[in-house]
Amino acid sequence: MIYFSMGPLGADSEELHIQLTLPPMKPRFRDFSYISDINSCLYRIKSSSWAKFGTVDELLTRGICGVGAFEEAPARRSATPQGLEARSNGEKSRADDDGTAQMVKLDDGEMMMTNWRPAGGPVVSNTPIVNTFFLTSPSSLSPKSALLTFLILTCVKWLLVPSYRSTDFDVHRNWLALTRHVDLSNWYFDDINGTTVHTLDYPPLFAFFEYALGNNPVTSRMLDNGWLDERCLESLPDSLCNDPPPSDECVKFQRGTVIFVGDVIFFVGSYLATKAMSTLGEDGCERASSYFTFVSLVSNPGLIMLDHVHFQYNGMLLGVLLISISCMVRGAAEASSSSSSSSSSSSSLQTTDRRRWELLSAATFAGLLAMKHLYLTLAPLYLFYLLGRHCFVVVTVEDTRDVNNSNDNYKSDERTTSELLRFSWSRLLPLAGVSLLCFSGPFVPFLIQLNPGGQMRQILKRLFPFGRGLVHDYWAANVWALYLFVSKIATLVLRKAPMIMSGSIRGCLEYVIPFPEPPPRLIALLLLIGLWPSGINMAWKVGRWSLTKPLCNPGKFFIHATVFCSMSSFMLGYHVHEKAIMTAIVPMTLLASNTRHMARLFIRTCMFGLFGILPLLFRAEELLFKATLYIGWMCGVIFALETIHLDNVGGNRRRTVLTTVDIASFVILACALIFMDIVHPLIFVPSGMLEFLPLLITSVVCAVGLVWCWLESYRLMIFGSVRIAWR
Amino acid sequence: MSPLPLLHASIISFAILLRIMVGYHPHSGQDDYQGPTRQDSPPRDDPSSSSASRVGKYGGDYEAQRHWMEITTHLPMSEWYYHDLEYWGLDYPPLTAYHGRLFGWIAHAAGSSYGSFVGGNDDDASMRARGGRGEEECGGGGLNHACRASGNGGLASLGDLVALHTSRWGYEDTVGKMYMRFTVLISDVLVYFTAVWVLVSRLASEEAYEDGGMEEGVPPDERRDDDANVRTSSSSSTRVMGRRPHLLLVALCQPAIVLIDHGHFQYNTVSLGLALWSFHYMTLADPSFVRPIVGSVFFALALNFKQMELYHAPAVFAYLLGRCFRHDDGDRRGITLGRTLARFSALGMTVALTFATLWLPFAMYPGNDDATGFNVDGLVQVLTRLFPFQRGIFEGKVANIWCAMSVRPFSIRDRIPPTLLPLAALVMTLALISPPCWILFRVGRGDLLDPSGADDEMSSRSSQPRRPKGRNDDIIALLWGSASTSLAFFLASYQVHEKGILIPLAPISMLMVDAPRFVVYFSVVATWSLWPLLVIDRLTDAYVCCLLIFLCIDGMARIEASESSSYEKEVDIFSDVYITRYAPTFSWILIILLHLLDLMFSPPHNLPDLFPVLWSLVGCGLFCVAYLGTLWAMVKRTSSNKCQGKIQQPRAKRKISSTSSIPVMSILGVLLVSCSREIEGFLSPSTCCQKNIRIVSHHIKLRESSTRHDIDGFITQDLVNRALRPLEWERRNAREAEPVLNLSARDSDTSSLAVRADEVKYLMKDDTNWTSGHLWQVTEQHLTDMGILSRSETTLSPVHVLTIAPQLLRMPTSQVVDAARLLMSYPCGANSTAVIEGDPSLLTYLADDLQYGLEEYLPNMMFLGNRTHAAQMIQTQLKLSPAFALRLIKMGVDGGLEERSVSRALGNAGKASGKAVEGVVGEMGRSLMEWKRKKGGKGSLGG
Repeated sequence: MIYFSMGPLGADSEELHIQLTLPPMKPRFRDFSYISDINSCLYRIKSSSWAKFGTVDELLTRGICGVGAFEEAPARRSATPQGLEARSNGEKSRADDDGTAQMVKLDDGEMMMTNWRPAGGPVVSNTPIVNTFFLTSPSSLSPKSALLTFLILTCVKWLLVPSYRSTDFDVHRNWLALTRHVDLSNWYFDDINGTTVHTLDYPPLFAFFEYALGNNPVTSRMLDNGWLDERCLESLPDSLCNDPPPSDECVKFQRGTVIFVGDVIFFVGSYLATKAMSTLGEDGCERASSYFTFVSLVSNPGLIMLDHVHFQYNGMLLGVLLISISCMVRGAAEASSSSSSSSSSSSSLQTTDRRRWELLSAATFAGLLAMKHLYLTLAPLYLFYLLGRHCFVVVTVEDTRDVNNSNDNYKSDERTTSELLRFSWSRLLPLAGVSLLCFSGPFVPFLIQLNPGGQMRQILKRLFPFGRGLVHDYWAANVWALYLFVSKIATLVLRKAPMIMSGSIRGCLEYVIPFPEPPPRLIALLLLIGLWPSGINMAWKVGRWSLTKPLCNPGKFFIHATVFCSMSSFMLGYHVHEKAIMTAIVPMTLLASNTRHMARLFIRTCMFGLFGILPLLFRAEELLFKATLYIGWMCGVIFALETIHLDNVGGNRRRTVLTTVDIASFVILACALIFMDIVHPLIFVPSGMLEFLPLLITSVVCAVGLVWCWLESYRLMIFGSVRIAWR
Repeated sequence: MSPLPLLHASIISFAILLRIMVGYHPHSGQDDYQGPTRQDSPPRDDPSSSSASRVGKYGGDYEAQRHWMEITTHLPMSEWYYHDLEYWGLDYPPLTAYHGRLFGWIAHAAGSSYGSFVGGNDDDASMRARGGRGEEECGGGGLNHACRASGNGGLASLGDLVALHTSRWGYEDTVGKMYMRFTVLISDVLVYFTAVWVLVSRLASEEAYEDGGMEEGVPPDERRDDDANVRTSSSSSTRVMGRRPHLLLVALCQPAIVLIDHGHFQYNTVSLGLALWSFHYMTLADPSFVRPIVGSVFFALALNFKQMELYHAPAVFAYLLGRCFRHDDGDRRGITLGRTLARFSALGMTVALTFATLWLPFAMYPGNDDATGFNVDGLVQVLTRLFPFQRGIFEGKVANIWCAMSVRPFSIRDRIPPTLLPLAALVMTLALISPPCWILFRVGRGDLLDPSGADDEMSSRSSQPRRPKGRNDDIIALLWGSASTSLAFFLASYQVHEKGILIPLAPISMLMVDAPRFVVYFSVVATWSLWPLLVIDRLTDAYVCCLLIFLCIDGMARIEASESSSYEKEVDIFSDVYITRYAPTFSWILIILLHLLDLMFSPPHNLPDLFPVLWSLVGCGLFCVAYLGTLWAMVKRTSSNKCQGKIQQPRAKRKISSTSSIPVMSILGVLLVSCSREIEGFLSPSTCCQKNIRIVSHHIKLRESSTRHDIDGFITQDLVNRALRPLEWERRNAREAEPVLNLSARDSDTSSLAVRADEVKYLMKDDTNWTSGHLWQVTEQHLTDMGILSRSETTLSPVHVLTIAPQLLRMPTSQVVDAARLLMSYPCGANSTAVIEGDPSLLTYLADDLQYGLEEYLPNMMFLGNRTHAAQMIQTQLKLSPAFALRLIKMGVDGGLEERSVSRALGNAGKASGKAVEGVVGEMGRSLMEWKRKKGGKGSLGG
């Protein structure tokens, strides 16, 4: 365990207390991720008012601050104030076991210098931490800098108004017209000739969102003033070939809805989530990089390309998801503080706070589900986590009769024998009520129509179009892409192969190859298998343990689990779009600055996932734009993470986030990009050969990378956050 | 490896991204759109349009540039400047034409080879890729990949883009536009970005040195030996690391430059980048004078790309002229007329050669065949194309003096006959550019270098390694100066158009280190002044976005500065003069107010041009303030040494008086004085340049003190008074001069027993010889000859020396020279001025004392009597921690003095007592003699 403590020195320096949890030094879990935590603590020192007295190592060596790092309790404990003393009496062994850090404020001038070095890793880096324009000074996210960042990004997005827009632009425009002009009962039936491609296929709440965009005072005022032409809000013909392009005002209006409605929600969500992360958990060190977290959330190039060039509303949906996550994290933070005080009776106020946060989270998520059914794969996680965590109460048991009566007991630990978990219906009912209300509320107007059954069937048919096939016509970079790729290769080999193999084997193979396309049910089963033992099961357990055990961090675990479940659904889902990877990347951003492993995973996921989005902007005009955006953002993020996780092994060697593998994959991706956008259109397109080769290469390369990321995210979820909690 | 390059890559990517995104917006004259109000009126005035041919033109600058590509690609050189001048005739210098030919040729080659294109044996793959995709076809399907282009029109349309004649009247397709945008971008990145990168590295590194940089080789351990300096050095150095990205961002995201080049469509960044490159090379110190010559070649290229670079030319010329006179490093022979002439002619030759190379083709291609084959007409034609004097004094509504003065109450165009207008413009411009040119000439000569070490005792106490400071003073002065001259041209010269404001903007945007608030102010005003033009180009959205991005970047830097730097407050306190705080605010309010007015009210019918006129009036005022600001900044950076120059070279004094006889100068002076206080505020750096502030304040103090004595420059009464203050050793000697043992003294002749100290005479004598400064002049001359004082790079200026050791004013020359010689040779016989540089007050000691202190006392006390060891120690310490070394030296000298004075006192005492004894004995003897005489007399009497 490690603590930093600095007393006030002079008038203008504050006291600085930092505490830090280290994982127990068991050989099995010895990854040196905590070193980055230490570094982020150093970062905090750096950004405090102490920084003006010198660099961190100067501070350390000059002895202004004391750094104590112990593997075991120091002998001088009696000299320290009460907090440590109390610990040292009865709970010494436990404190050392679970590695909970103690913040010890020493009397001024009292120093504890113990040169504790874990095997193979230094505590303090030798180089002064790089102070840079972006990262250090606004280290803690202030509303002012957040606002400035938002303003810059808004300007960037507004500059993109005249750039390329896909057919999704027309789709959303048509939905707006549909909800504006057509009667509600026909919203999901509007397909006059059966030929239009702009059918409404999002859940009802999104339809109401479009309705609100078309029918609000601002829009009507614009229409009245002649700023917006009525044609913009008219339904589109089935074929756009003869339709004149929309006016500039129309484009600006549609883009404006994304920027000023969708992105404001995303901004709010990012801000809340970042703030929640900074209050998360017992170590205050997360705060050091919250500015980074915020900036990399809101400036995600994937969202810029998808929402502001390609035209969609992903930012809004992800913003709602982030709000939900932030509520959950806050609930977790409340709980962990209450449980660590281990007096459940006195923490009733905190419990109600916690309940409110969790209810809010569930409600937001239910609303999100009613906007976009893509997030359905996260629903089991929410369900089981909340069941385990929200619906159980801790009871301090006087007699054993209660134990027998309660239908599900969990005897947590020998230390807390007096505390039992009891399932509480009074908790479950509000939870279920709120969630169901938020989810099914938007469906109600359709249910009160003439034929509610027909409406629901039609909605479901639109939402789950199983006829579309296993993969999108541009393969998303998932397991199925690999599957189909192998299938194609096998077909090719089989066709080209001479008659070397005997007829019978060949016949058998011809029967199997090309591989059969798995039916949707099988895929649903696979998905469930992918989610169940790891994500859902773990969520259930962690949710309940977190009540009685001073866990490392249920909130952190929850984000990990969100990331993993999103990855799983991306990998195994049916007819997945390439943009679904954003559901994993966005929550992962929250964790990126935690440990070096997480940072590495984040960089790799972004590298492959965002690369998979690049082919969406296929015009030559956007080639330079997307390449610059991708490269620039990746460079910025890698730089930031390298700086956050900076540490010196000694001498000139430095442990970096980026490894040789990453650099090699960057080279591969660069080659793929050059082939896709320069070589291929020049050489193959004129002759019409191999039209889909670049897309195939892109999705296969990205699929290989992302499969690794998927497994790694599983490992990190289990070992990074759960095992620490397991003891 | 450090991750910092990643950050730089990210920033550069952002700058490129900004340009690409602005490029999505319409270019000038797209679809022949000529502004919201003048749908049917002829195209608005444009720099590249000729006045006679307003009818029957299409588009704007974009079409002009495309047309030039087409001309240069397909026509022989002799026709370039003759071809169909009515339709966007070529009127830029030859380098632009070559540049257009290069890109036109590429497009043509790509387009024409595309038809027969089979395999990939082309050199220019990337270029083809730009056109490789056709336009988006109407897919109709919901899946956007159905729209994936299979269009073959792409590259062929590139060929059409530059097809002669057929492409006329606005060939605008998306691929063509993209290609044109790409040519701007690639030129921008290759020329401007590199120039900015080089300059920013240079300027940021200077910051590092000045603030006690730790980048270079000073390990932290050695820095820690001096407690007082550890924190400043470490905190400031970390700040410095954060400054380079910031400088890069500011310089590369200049909204005006981005909007004009990548929105409106021009190739300004090429000429600006070449100019910045030339500034970079010119200001590098180089005794062999090669680098200034390279710089001049660059500048000639810039001039040949766009004639508007002439705005910078006076500054460059003045500076280079000064450089010809410079006494460079390692050049001890002094500057002779021959060397100056050689340098000057070398410069002239290279520039002439560059010009000749570029222009010769136009003369060699015979228009009408001559016997000589040399065709002057071609050159004349180019020149008349470049400088169309018939077009009037200004175009459209430009924010310059002439435009502002031609509004109704002044209506200058009616009062002065049009034939005189060019002359008036010339006179006015000359008057405005002469002060910056004069200063730049002095800077170039090297006698105006800013002694950043001239700040009071701080520098002598600082433990930082004394680096050759001010090695970037040249570049900063040149940047200010070129900004100043180009602003003068913009304000007062003939035939100006709005885009001319980019020319001062480019150097100013590099000056974020010096005056951040001024840079922001000027950038915003410059961008704002382009608003009427951008409205016509339909770039208003881009304008708002770029401006906001720029301001937000600045705001974030400000937040960073206020959070990380504890010096911010001090800076603010200093710059808290009331007017300075409100002057920029006032202009912001004005700007916003005008924008709001423009947005909300349409102009009355009888005044359709109300808003452009308002724009030019207000803009003229703001630019005048900016011009005065640049001038003031130059004066500020160089003022403290002006007087020094006067003393050093009497010739210079005469020149000043002769130039100041020009009445304009005096008017300007009055203006300057009245405005200087006002501008000071936003010139003063807001972020962490407390060092500069200190210098500035010091300079101001010095200037104030110097103005009191007009005749003799800086030798003020104050200085004389301070010089009269006795030195420590003088005081001691004086004390010693009083007799230690005054045992004797009954008679008058006993006073001769006391040892008289001759040195006291300096103190007592009120000699007019030194108060008038003549003595010091001689001393300074000697010191200069020894290479101590006038060395331009080491900034050991006489003012600095005298500030620290005023007593030198009255020291006899020979004594000072002896001391200096000793000090120069001190550590291990190295011939360096490091010690004197560290503490000039050492010069006031007697050479004898110094020698004893350094060679006897110090080794005896600290190094076991080993002299070489001591000297070596001092030498190494001088490199590592000069403050410590100086402390050692001081200790040695003072200790030596002490020791010797004590021993002298003892000796004196002994001598005195001896004399006293002698006296007593003598007296006794005398009395004995007398007695004897008496006795003898008696004896004789008796005997």
